[in-house]
Amino acid sequence: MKRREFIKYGAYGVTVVAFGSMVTIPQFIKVGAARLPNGGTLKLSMKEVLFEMVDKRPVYHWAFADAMHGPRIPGVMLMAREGEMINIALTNEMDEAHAFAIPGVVDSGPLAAGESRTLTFAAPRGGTYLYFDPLNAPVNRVMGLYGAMIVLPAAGNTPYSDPTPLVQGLFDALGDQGTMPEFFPGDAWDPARNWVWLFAAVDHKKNEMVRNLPAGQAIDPEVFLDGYLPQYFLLTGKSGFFSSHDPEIFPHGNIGQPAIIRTLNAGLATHSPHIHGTHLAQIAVDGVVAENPFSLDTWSLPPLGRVDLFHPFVAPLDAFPWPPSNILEFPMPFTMHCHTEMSQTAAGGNYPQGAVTDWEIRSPQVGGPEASEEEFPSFRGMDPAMFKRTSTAGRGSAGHVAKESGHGSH
Amino acid sequence: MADTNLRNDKELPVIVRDEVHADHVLFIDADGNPVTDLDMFERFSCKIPNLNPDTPDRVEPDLVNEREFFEDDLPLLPGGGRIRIFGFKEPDGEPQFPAPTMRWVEGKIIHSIVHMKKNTHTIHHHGMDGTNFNDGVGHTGFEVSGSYTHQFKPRVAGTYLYHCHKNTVLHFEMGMYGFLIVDPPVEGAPFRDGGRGMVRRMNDIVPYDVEAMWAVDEFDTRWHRPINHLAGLACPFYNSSQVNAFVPTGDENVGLHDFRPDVFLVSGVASTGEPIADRRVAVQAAWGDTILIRLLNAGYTVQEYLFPDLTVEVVDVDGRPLGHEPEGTFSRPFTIAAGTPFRLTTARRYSMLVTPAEIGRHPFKVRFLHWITGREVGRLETFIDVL
Repeated sequence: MKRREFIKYGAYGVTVVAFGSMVTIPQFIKVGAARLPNGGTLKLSMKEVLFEMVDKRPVYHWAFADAMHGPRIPGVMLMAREGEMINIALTNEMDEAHAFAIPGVVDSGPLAAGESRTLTFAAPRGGTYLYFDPLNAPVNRVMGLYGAMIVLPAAGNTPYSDPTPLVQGLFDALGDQGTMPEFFPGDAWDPARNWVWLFAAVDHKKNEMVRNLPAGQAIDPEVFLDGYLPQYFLLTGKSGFFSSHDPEIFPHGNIGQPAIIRTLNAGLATHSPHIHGTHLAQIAVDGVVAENPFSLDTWSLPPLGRVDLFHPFVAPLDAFPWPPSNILEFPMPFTMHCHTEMSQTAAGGNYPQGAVTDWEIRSPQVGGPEASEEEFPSFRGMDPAMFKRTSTAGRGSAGHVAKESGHGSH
Repeated sequence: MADTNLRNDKELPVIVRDEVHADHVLFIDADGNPVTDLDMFERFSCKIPNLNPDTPDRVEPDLVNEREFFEDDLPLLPGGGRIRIFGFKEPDGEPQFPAPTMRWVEGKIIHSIVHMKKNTHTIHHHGMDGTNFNDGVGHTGFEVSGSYTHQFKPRVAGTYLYHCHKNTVLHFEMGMYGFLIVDPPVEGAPFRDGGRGMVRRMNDIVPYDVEAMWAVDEFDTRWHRPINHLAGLACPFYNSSQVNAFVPTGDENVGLHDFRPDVFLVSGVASTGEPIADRRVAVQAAWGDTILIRLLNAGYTVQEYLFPDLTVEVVDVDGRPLGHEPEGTFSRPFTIAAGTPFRLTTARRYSMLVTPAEIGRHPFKVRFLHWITGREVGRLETFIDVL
């Protein structure tokens, strides 16, 4: 897969650490991925932060901070190969007990204030995992201590160690011109083509309630949940305009460049994400590979839910004609938003500044490499009143660094 | 307070949001004008083009439907009280809720025309995988101030919906939706709502005798007070020179994050607590009839459904027939056993076939679960009578 130079990192959004043999896969997922060769240790601490919402309201949060990227919400994305060892050196920099766990895989147990501990565990079976602080559930997770881990299987052409027959059949058909050339005319799945949509919600009043407790005193989860009403909705740490214009969050590619979208929910709302312009095959739910990977345009994502979706990147089935005669309709964007539409608000309104992003057909040409900005110069030639939008090249916002000051904290 | 151990006395690192720069030029548009971060933010948020463009690559249609906007008080509350509805109607039709079904035929060229007399709206044909230009989404396209003709060629029969995609959180709840059905390419299609027809089951086309079309919904009646179409829209720069200002975030915010349903309906018929017997909802079939149930979660709750004594077969999810080649090659129809609850979240659809073996009344029950707390906030019941 061709990765362009434009990808930059804001102070929030997607950061990645690749473990073990993942470091030898060139440009696996993210250009800027930090790499930890075999035996390397990720230093991960838990700390208090202020996290600016989409309207710039700073909201008190708890964050995992890694030594390479600083505090992030979600925490740094972990990439690993099944069976290889992962070392994480944890430090709790907060006043009450915290922990790091991936259910069914690893659990640090409580770390007291100031305590450090190193976890060593083998990467589990191929799939999508949520890591989080399970203590005082669900408070510590909802306060921001969560992140995603992606594990690729030790072998095979699917995302899974033990694919079901229909999931295996689906991946075998990709790029196999003998099987379904009219439907899958392009490439096999490139394991670099993954995107992560990690949903979360924030009730700033509850976070403020936690902040105002005496240091070290945990809030009663029943008090936290009583009247809990989120006012901000995040997709992989961003909202609205910002999640819609970050190429690390919006999937893109030519027709015939299939991708995996890994969706997770760290928050307390049940989401109903809806994608426009395509259907997706639901290939795994909560870590279980689907026996029946049917296609859908809307799926259910309850709290702690994990749903993996296969994006075929086929020509839109119901479009006529395809491709459109005006090549300037490319790159062609479509929206993806949660259809439980309260999640599209921020601070009670401000539609559509909630859990929303785009995906984009880069060009109608079939298969990789992905069309370049020069070949498909966005909408620049069109009536600007019609499509006054940026090119993909302009979509990444300028990077900023986390301010280690007390800005806004008083 | 003097207690220096309070957390908020600490200086904390800040995870900052990206900036929206008023002076950062992203590209030069076709007219030679610079387009900045701020232009793009406004383009996404509120300064959405209001247009009535020609349909790209327009051809002569096989089927045409037209819809226009209305706003009216309709007698939809339990007991017949009126409630403010935004909706779609046919140009010569009466206001109704849900909006009249669009009924298309697989493989035909479709023109779906929207007319707006005042304000702007859109139609999103949900589940129709067309081009962006025909997708009906303002922030990736445009809103319609006069009229626009959407062009599609639906590839495969199934159950879809259509709805307004402007300020969707409000307009979908206010009633701007209806079923969109694509019938298979057989004689008699498109079929009449509720009557006999044909449906895709894997690679076959099979008959049904009765069609149930259940759009299960709720109202938060607070949201239906006469309300500005734009309530809650993010137009932060219209009234402010401050680049990062948003609309009010205090107690005066419009509260579109806070949904508290108090009326529970199926296809426009509100539950009074008794099983809904209205013939628009309750099904009457003869013994031996095959019933096709098109089920849509048109609300903002998690809906849990139950057929206590019927086992149904799901033949279509979100407009894609299971096991139909090529797009459904790697899927199969599945059954939901009698007595097994199942759930759909907002805008999901199942098409289900059932041929009841027993004469009598077969209940269909819905529990409405809050999208955050998961608590039951309402329930209703209707039935299939087999005579």
